[in-house]
Amino acid sequence: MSLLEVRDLTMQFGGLTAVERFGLTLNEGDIVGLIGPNGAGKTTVFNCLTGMYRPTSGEICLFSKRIDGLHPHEITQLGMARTFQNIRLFKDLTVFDNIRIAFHYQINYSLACAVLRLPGFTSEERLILGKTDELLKIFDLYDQRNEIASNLPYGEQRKLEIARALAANPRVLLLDEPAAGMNPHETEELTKLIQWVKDRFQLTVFLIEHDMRLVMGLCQRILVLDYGITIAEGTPHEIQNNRAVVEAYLGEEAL
Amino acid sequence: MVELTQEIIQQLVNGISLGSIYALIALGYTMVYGIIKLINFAHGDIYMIGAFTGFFAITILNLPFLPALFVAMVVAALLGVIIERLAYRPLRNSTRIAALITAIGVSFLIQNIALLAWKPDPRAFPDVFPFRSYQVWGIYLDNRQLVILGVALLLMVILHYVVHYTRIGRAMRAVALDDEAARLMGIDVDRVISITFAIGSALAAAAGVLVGIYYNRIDPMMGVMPGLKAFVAAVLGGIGVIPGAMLGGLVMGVAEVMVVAILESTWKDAVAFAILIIILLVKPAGLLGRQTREKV
Amino acid sequence: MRGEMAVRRFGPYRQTLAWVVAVLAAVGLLAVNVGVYNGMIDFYLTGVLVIAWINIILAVSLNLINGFTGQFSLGHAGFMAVGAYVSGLLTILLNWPFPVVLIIAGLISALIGLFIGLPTLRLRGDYLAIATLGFGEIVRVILLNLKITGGPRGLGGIAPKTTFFSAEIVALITIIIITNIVRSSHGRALVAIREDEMAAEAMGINTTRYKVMAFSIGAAFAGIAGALFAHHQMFIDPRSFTFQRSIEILVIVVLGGLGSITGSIVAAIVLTILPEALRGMAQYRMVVYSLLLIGLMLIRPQGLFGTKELQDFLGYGITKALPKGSARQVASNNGGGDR
Repeated sequence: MSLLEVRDLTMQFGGLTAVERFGLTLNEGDIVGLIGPNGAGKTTVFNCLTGMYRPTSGEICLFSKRIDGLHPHEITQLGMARTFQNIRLFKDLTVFDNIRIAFHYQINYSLACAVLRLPGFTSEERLILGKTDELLKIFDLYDQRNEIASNLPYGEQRKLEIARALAANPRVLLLDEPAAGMNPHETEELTKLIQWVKDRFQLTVFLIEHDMRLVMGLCQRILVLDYGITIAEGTPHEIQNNRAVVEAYLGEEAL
Repeated sequence: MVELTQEIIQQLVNGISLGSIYALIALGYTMVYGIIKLINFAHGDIYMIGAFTGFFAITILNLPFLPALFVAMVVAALLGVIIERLAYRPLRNSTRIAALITAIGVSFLIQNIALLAWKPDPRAFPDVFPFRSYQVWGIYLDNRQLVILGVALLLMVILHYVVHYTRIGRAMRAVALDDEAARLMGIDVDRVISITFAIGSALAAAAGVLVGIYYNRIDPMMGVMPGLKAFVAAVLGGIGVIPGAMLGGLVMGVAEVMVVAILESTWKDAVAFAILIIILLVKPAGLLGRQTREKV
Repeated sequence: MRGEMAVRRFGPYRQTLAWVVAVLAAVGLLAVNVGVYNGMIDFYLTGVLVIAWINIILAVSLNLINGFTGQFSLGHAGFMAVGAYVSGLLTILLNWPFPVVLIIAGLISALIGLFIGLPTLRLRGDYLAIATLGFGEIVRVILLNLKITGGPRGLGGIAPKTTFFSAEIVALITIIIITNIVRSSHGRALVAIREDEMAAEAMGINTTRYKVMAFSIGAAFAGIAGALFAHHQMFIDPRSFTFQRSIEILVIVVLGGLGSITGSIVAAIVLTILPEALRGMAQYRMVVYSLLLIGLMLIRPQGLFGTKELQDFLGYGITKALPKGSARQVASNNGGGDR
């Protein structure tokens, strides 16, 4: 069954077409990469998928439900979470609180229940506490749980952001340049982590990445975007040998 | 029918006189906002200081109108630069809200010092231009309105020239677009900001003196409402956009005069804010502003 | 071990100071209650204390909007005015019981908060500040023009139903309610909005709903504070609710620390009592106020307490940033549960 189905997605800003007739099918357990030169419209695709932008035209279906036009929080609640290219943690909050906040929409007690401190409040808070700590341990962040998020090293912040996205309980995870600013060693660790997280949480992953080693090593399928148009789609092997891609994008790196 | 038309044109004339004063104040708001993204709450009080300086220049120094206007503008320009130096510059890298609160504090400080120094009672502004009224096609126009329009127009022409045809004007536009890039291009950003405050404050002071002449009375709290309304005018025109401030000022002036003519004068202070809320909700970038989108 | 860390981070001196403040507060609260009950505190001073309670309600509720949710409102005096006039009219015209009047004043203010908040909370930062300021001014102009509110002459003859004890009870309830909101998942959603609205939305938080909620709750308590104020002064007019009033409340919140409830309480008390202590220099009050505001922004923009609470400085405070819904549970986990 396809979890995410995108058809003819087009996004225009004024007269500028950032993404044109983008199509994508994500099946359960897929891990698909989106690559392309800077300004190709990759993040715009993400922003349309997650409801941050309202697409000019096209259709986006998540679990066979139309989601274009929904608010970002509604899409997250349906089961698709994301990270951001330029890390958007709650910088001044602790590592612990960063994760705990992402459990928010899974909480059932009402405002009145919180004000009156009814039993439902206490039991659910305890539950969230446990889940948060569990996630922190999985991501090896437990020792830094009381640290302010912005004090973490860069790589750990990326990790925390992924952990936070997972706390929102997604089935589809979108990662926007998870390896940006990482050294080769860190990237390698991250590649393993993504693979491991995907298996552990039975996720379907769609990621934007510049780092070719990560994309080629991780993705089953890759889409290449150039000036908003999908110029190629295929396995890493096919993409590496695709003339148009080499010219548009890899060409720069090959030279 | 003719009478109604005449009445409307009469109100338009009055509205444009008032509006050109709002426009002069709004220019300072818009220039400062364009360059450092700060609502300079104290701007209305600089306008008040301008009016009082003009008052003292005429009554104590016995200066004629134009020199008094010039003195008021210079004093206000200096005050604007000093305020920026002492209160705003240290906060340039902190949050915008911290800067806004500071600006509110500066505004309160100026008002309350003025209240202590000059007492809350209004003073009669000297009669520089003895009232003379002209009638053209049944529409009354007086010499004070002509002075206001003349001075305001002249100052706006000069401002336009400075912003578009001088080195400093080019530097100002560069800093407004991207202060970091401007700095890298060798522009002394601090100096540009100082000059922006000086120009904006001088224009506000001119508006203060003109209001003194128009209404014949000034008081320490006179800057509060016109300040807020001029800010609304700047937002209405598109904050950061100089022609927008002029347009916004005129629209505000005309709207206010019309409301007073149709409803009652006690409602006039609500007009500005009603316009503000509507414009913020319908076209937040203002009439002449450009829509921007937050980057994700 | 966490205690040691707190000492190292805040310094032993601050910890001592925090204890002094806490003890003073407890002793002061007891003494004031006994004093008012026995009649040892005179009528005038009791009036000042009532105003202090009202300012606490105003500051804590504004803090929910400005400090915790990060939505900069300058319209609190407008909501206060709504509550004051609604309650005043209810008492004069219908003479309903005071608690009912207070609740209705709060509900109507909340409703207007909802009505204002829905469209304006789309605005950000200083634009929202100006829009809410505009709203407050519009309320004032409307009150000035309505017949039923007495126009510029004001509304007089409101029965003096606010006592020290009723103001105290309402203030304590306000503090408890807002503290409990802030220390729950709902409160964390508000803080998430303050920290990064886009990220909060991406985490599944309905940011619009929560912003409007915070705004309405804040408005409700401002309305209740206005009702207490009206039944304390017995006379209200539109001049009591200018935007200068909003700014006075803002100064309290900023001085105490945006995002610190105990900070707001301490600052409200200090800024109510201090001008009374300096009554000889009444005309300098506003000068001092403005210098305080500017100085604070230049030297300590986070206010006295920052986003921390008094109890965080006492030594056993654990989490450094708000909200800390289960700080004590964290402590016990740390102590015994480490595997």
